[in-house]
Amino acid sequence: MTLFVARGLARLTALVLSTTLAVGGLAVAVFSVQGDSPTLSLPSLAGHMRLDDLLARVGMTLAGLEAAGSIAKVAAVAGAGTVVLGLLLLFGVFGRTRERLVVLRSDDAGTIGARRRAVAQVAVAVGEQSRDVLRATATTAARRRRGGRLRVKVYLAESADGAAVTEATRVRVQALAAPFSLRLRIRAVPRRGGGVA
Amino acid sequence: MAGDSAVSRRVVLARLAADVIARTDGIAATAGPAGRWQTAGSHQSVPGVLAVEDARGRVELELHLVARWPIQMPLEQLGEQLRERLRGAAGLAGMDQQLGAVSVAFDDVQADAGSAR
Repeated sequence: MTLFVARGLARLTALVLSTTLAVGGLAVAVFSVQGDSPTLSLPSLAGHMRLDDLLARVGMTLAGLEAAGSIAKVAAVAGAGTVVLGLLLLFGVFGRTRERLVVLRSDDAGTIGARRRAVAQVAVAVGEQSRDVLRATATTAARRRRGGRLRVKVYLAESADGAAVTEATRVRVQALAAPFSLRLRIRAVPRRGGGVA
Repeated sequence: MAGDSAVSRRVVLARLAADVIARTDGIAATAGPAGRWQTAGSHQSVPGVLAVEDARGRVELELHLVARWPIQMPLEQLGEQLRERLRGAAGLAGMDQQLGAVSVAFDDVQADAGSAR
């Protein structure tokens, strides 16, 4: 989640900065057409940009920064925030999403595994094989090395026996879960009313 | 020159793996939604196979697959069968010493895997 936010922030920042740089560069280029201080000159651009005022303000801020006080504290917090933001942007640019596999076998010869989504898809297909099941959903969580958890929810037909369907589903899905060392949890949901364990 | 031969070895083994996948029932190679899982060759890429040279100069392969539903055998058995066939094919091509670890990832399950290529 953090990576996705960081990646989005990095892309947005890159877009804003590159656009600003492009506009700024274009402005400087246009105002470099004439020398000295006519309309299309750099002194004219500085006048339009009110850089004289900015220089005065920066000078006052720097003076306040040198003295101990609220401005110095704000500057310190802003500096720390900028460092954190920089690290977040670097993480967004260079970070890679680790797509975790549910591992079946791992040794020197390589790893055999399946994506969590693929395991969940098979579990859903297996769970929906019964006439007493209207539909099924499944989620898979993988541990770092091996194993994990498989949760299957089956939505029962009106006349179905929840306990019997749960057990039958468990037997069928267990054949899938066992080789992956997944802890299996089946939940049957009746068509009307609350859930059945 | 060593770099060129390493690249060609990678591509040759990736193509070999792609051929083995294509000849195995119930699976298809997938390059993934962003096309990340592929090996770039000089003329064309090999989708679904990532080939990387390891520290010992051997080529490690990562096979990304879509399994066709209904699955005909347990995924572990399917993956192992695929690795054995690939090692056999590499042996026939005289490249078994250059083939390193082979990892198999089932990335998706589809009723018709042909569209996932």
